[in-house]
Amino acid sequence: MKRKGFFLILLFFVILGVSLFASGIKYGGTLTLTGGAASPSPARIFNPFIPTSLYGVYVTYEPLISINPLNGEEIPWLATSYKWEDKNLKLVYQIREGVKWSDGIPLTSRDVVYTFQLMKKYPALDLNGIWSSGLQNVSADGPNTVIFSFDKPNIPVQAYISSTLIVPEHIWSKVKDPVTWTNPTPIGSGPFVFDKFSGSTYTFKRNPNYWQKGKPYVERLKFVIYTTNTTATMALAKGILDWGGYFIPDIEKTYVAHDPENFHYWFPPGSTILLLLNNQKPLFASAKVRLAIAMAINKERISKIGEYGYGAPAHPTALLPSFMDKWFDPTLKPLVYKYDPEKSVEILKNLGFTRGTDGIFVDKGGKKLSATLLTVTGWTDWVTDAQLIAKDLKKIGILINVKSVTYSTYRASLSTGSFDMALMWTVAGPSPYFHYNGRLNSKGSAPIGKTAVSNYERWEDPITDAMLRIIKETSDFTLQKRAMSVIEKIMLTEVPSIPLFYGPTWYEYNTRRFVGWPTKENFYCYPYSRLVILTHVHLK
Amino acid sequence: MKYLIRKIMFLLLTIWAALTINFILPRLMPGNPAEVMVAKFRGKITPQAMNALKIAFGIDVHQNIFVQYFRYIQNTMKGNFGISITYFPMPVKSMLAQSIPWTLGLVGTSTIIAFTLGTLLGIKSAWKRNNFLADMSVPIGLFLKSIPYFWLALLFLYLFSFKLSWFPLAGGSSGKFIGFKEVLDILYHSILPAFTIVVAASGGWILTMRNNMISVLSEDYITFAAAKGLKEKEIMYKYGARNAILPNMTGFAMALGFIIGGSLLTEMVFSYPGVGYILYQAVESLDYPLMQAIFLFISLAVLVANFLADVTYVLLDPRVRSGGKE
Repeated sequence: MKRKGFFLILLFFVILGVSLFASGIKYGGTLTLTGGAASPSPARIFNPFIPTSLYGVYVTYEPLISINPLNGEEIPWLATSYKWEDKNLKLVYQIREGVKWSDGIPLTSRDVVYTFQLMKKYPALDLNGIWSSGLQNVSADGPNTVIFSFDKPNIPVQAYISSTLIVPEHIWSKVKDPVTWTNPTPIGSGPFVFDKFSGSTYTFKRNPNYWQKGKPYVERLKFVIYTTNTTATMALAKGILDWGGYFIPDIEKTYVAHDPENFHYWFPPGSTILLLLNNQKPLFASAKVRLAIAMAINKERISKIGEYGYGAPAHPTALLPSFMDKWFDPTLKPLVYKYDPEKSVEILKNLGFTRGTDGIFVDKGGKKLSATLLTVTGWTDWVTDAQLIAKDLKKIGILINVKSVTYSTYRASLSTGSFDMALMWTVAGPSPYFHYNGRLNSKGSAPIGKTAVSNYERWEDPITDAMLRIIKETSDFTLQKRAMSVIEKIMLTEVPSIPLFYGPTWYEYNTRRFVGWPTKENFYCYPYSRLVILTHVHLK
Repeated sequence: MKYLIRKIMFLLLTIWAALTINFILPRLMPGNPAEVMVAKFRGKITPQAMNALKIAFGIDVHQNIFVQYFRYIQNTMKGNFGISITYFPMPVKSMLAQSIPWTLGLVGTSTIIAFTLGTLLGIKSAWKRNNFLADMSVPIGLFLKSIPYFWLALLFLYLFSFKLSWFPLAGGSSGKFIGFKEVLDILYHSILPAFTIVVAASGGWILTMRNNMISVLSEDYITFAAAKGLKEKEIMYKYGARNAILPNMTGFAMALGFIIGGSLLTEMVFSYPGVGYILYQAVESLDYPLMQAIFLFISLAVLVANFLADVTYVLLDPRVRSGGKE
């Protein structure tokens, strides 16, 4: 009798297992992931407007549209759609029906309007400068429509509006100072709700009333924080961390080799690292000299030696590989310059420089061609890169001094223009506009000695500015692409800065317990998009 | 008594000097915290954020430097250290309250253990010279003293936590337990980091104590004590060690003072939630309020510990009591 009972129970579990298998997706499990910027004693901050917040905010609060910064792909999230109207002066969002905050109160257009009004009232919360982009007013038209009105067209700002995390009015309107509010127990609309906070770890549990029916599949998230990459690497290699975003040297051996079947990584290019030439220094005022320098640098070697082979050599237009198909103008192909130090020497000779006995070029006044290349102390990859660049340039007769300074000095030198050459990354965004606008718009520049906001190389060119303005004001893709092509050509022929290599997006994942991660083959979202990934992964 | 009053006056003067230097130094660093914050996210937040952050951190508020100084002294007296920038918008006070107990517990206990152990071993090895084990303490002590701590800690972490899984990889506690179990959990998490500190720090104490002890043991009064027929233990501790330990007391007081600063490397390697790592973060992010508060506590602790060492001198060494006049 007893035996029979046992078999019955066994049979029940077999059927249950098969039926779950048939539906394809298993619920439950605790997924361990990184909980915040390196800090052993995390402060309990869940304020989505503050960059020091713990990563739990990204599964609590949701944007209108989820945008993949690597290719510009959009997934409608709290908004079902958006469109530009009235000669691109009105941006209209349709807000999703039936979404509820985790305390049961419905999310409506009022919450969306409130979120943006809050950013207007407290400029400290407006991290993307949305209210200084020409936005005049935000208003609700019924419970499901929100209208943003502008005084002049600004198409790219849509990306910032769409990614703003929406907060509940009924809670935030009672907060005295939202700028310094830590929001220790956050209430949001996301797939997970805050569970427990205990010193160095914290947990979130599944939101059973989430608007995406049946999602998420994971029962609990455990957020942990490691202070060094070494410890994080050990945790990954032991299989403790299911999902990581760390730089790991020699990753095949230190991580993958511990369980080649389940330990994976993929480092898609996420930004472009540039060699900035201060265009206001006399030596770099000539486009020919800049081109000669660009052609003398062996990017392959920098990528291999300085960057451990993780950051591939960058395209001279600085376009990310994921943007090439959509944005690169193929007619420019013949203009793409290649590594050719002999040609560099020729260019310099034609400019009237003469080579001294030590092999270094001198100008007509007898002054040696020399410059200082700034890097950051302790950023070992950049320091190596800089030394490689110095060697390459010495070969063509330009003397480079590599100087390492502390990070804050570095920033100060760049923004005030007291540097010759320096390394810098591009601004991320869903189209190349964001990067070009940041580095090349003369609005971001300033005379040497004054603070430049983003155009540290101080490239000031009316054609570039005009093209950027066209892209900003038109929603017509063909027109945008034509203007972009002009900027690409400037990058290739005038070389305002020299793209070196792509900065990788660090992403490691473990399929021992959970599957459904974005991969190189199934690139359904950006590897840092916690919201999208955590509504896809499930138990194996 | 005169000696003590002089010492107290000196203590107050140095505290004021420390306060003032503490105010000036961070302001000499180039750059501003908003820039560093934008940069920390390596292009993930936009340049426009700079403006928002400047408003949030109150950076653009220009104020006369003297007004700033007096406000700073006033606030410090009240124990009001402002808002941290690294951990914005947490008050500095609560960040310190959160991390100081961990550091005191871990670094404090292990420093005392290392000192006691090192001193005892030093005494023994000086007393029993020509004994193989005792003589070995010199090369061992030298080895431990000169080994790079960071490397030693990583090696231990790799061996005992990663390979053998005896100890946890990171953190001060697992946060799963409450009550007595939590205490055990915290102890369990502290064993390996404490062990590395004790191993690395005791080497220095062994060597200095042994050297002091040897020079004291060659004094005439030791020979006299032995001739008098006193017990070996009595000579070793009361005659020898009591005198030999004097220079070491100052070193120990300094070490105690530096406990507040935490052990940066230990806390980094073991992801331990103490002050050392917070200080490092504060310096990296130009977090003046947090930096100033931690430096203040470190200098206060060092000064007070030194003062206490001076007082202990009075008890240990009668010559100090009489002010050098026989």
